[in-house]
Amino acid sequence: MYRYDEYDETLVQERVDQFRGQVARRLSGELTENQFRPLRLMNGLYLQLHSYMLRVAIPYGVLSSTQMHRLADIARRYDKGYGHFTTRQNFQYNWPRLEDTPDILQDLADVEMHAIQTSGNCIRNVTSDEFAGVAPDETHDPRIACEIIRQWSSFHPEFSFLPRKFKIAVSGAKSDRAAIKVHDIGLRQYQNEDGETGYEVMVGGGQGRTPMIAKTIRPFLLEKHLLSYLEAIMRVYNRFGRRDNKYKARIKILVHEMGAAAFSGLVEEEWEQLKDTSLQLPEAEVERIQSYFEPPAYEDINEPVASFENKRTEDKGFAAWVNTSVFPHKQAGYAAAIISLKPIGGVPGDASAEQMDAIADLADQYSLGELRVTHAQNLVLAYVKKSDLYALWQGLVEADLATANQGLITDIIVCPGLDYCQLATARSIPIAQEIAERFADIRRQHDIGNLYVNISGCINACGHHHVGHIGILGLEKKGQESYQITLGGRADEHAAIGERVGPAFSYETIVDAVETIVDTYIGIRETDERFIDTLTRTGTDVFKEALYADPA
Amino acid sequence: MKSAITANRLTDGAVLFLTAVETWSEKMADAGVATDQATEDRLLKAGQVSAEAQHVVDPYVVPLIEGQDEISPMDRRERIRGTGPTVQQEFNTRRHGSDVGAAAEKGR
Amino acid sequence: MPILRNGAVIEDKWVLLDEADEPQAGTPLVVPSEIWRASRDRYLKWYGPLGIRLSPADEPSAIAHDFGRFELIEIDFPVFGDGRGFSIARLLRERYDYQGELRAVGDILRDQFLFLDRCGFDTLAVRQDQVGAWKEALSELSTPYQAATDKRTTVLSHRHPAKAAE
Repeated sequence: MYRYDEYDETLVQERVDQFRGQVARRLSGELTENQFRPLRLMNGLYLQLHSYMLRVAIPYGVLSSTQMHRLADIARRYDKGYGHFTTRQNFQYNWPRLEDTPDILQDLADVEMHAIQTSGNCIRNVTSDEFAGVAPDETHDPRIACEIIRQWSSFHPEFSFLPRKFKIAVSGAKSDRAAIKVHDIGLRQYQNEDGETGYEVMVGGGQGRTPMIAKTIRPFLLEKHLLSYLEAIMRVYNRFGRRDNKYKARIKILVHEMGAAAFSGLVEEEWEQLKDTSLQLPEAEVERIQSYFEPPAYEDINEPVASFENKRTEDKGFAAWVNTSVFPHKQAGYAAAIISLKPIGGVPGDASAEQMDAIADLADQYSLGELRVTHAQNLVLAYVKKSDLYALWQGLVEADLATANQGLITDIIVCPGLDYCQLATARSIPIAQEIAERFADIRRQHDIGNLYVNISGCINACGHHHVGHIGILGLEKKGQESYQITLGGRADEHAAIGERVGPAFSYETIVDAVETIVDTYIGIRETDERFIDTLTRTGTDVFKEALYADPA
Repeated sequence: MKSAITANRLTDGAVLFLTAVETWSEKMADAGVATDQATEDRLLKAGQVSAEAQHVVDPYVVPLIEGQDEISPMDRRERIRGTGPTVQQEFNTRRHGSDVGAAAEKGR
Repeated sequence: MPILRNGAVIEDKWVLLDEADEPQAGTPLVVPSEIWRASRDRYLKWYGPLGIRLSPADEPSAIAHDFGRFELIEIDFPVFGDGRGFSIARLLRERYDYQGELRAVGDILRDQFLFLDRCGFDTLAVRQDQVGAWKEALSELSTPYQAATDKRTTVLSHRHPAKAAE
């Protein structure tokens, strides 16, 4: 993974010192809350429903075991002993004290972490594929572009006061695991017919109250032009994005209102002027960054790995975990393992300090001391020898982290909702918990198969409900929580926005409604047909009929 | 009418309620209840003075459910804010039940 | 509002045009862009130093051919969160090669001084209570990652000195 050099280190340290000064000015009364708010937000510090909330950046979801231990330490020392992994591969503390935040940021800086640009109308943490560098279908390692973008966008003097927040995602594989089409900018790295490396540039995707799939504004952009092209897009957005209405300020609205062709025209015109400037990175810098992402020294291992195959037949629990939680690897004899943060009845994405420590230890033991955070709020160990998988699984069982539900109905993406969030209109975590309890039987989950349920507690869609196979949006109607269902959303390379099926359900009936959808699917599916494929084949009518048929 | 004043403490963000004697308490039960506009105005003013002195952030009025002795906000948001997340106080302990203050709701 | 140049308060000779009460000839005059568009010919002939105040929605290319006439261009920040002025400033400096004084006016914060400086502003109209903050505000981040209008050495040129010298 990328390691700071003296310049990265200095910048992050300066930021800590700057924030320490700002907090001191706030506590002394020199800054009012109105003056302080934009400053704290630029360091990821919110004032939420119950308390302050600090969002820590995990650049493109990659962290070391040392950093994971530090997150655990901070949770114990300054918070209530737990934290939350978010859908943007970040990490949140729910109960920090304002007075402690400078010390927390210092503790983070000491292990090359920060909270810079995790909030505010600026370019946020760049997100990517959790299997970067190890996925068999990967052609280009997206982490290199991510790191280049991270540095370019940090403290950008021109783009720190944009019309609205700005999210970039990068993928370099055939399957899109980074949901790039629902980002402000999605970059798909590939090689063209002439053998050159570059990007398909997609702009204007997003969720929120106006969900949209990104439009391709340039089918191929040579790698060396990455930053100049991004700068051109950002300049057009900064100048022409709407600022009159917060809900129309994202770039998707600009692209939509202007038309993708016209928007692309403006960007190209701007880019003509920028492309041969110093924004072209020197080879040496690309190589320097690349060198941090070289494949590790893998051992030569022949497949099949007998010990692994044997354990798989001997131990049913292990076999079930392998079926859902082990992902294929580029390198023979290796695998990537997903650690589910979705125990039945638990809070999706939460981890206790003890669990974080246990996970970090397992990463040291079995995966070169490195971890990944997924946008589905799980964790990944990317470099596990197949011969170690059984021992890893045993370690996970011991730490209560071996839930074998990745990609199944209980692997629910969910925002904090009204239990924590100032903006929420309804609770989302308890709905996720009750759905998980309803479908707790692991055989039933496997029988249902791959099914993504995503839940948001308000229209801002942090729980990605628009792109869930089953999406649930919590709203408030006349003082009551009510839940709208959408069907058919997906965040992969066939990205689509789910279709609303009809009137909302109450807190009491929403879980039954989900079960009705699932039962309907079971009744009409063809052999080995996934939920999303059945839905594509049949359309939503059959589900609507089941949901809104005369109540018995 | 029935209302109380709430805010967050500046230093740690804790949810606070203004008592009848214009001090802050972390317990909703300690809130000074206003049943007339003049009292609400007086309490809110006291909250604002406290904000200007940088003790608390953003004081505001919380409407309470009338016709019952206990202090319970009309809004679900405020009920959750007053009593904490409905999901977990301690890590990994589950809580069921369909609503916070469901009983209070019946009293409306 | 006090005007800062390199952290020092300078005397402000400029007067913002009020059409109802036009100042006497010779006065250094700043013409708001909407008046400039309506009465360009009239103010081109202004006897005395001339400046223009741009709003964030203005198109810099539209006034580029008049640069020879302006000693001052002001860019207004109606609220501090409106960052369009940063882009306009860079365009004026880097695209249209404007060499005169570039001034940020309006709702600007101490915590934006560095970014304003980096985008090519050389004077700032600041709140009285922020006059003394310049030095600290500009030193809070020593070496930026990315190049901008300013001539600060970037992280990149430190890392790869040979390239930077080209």
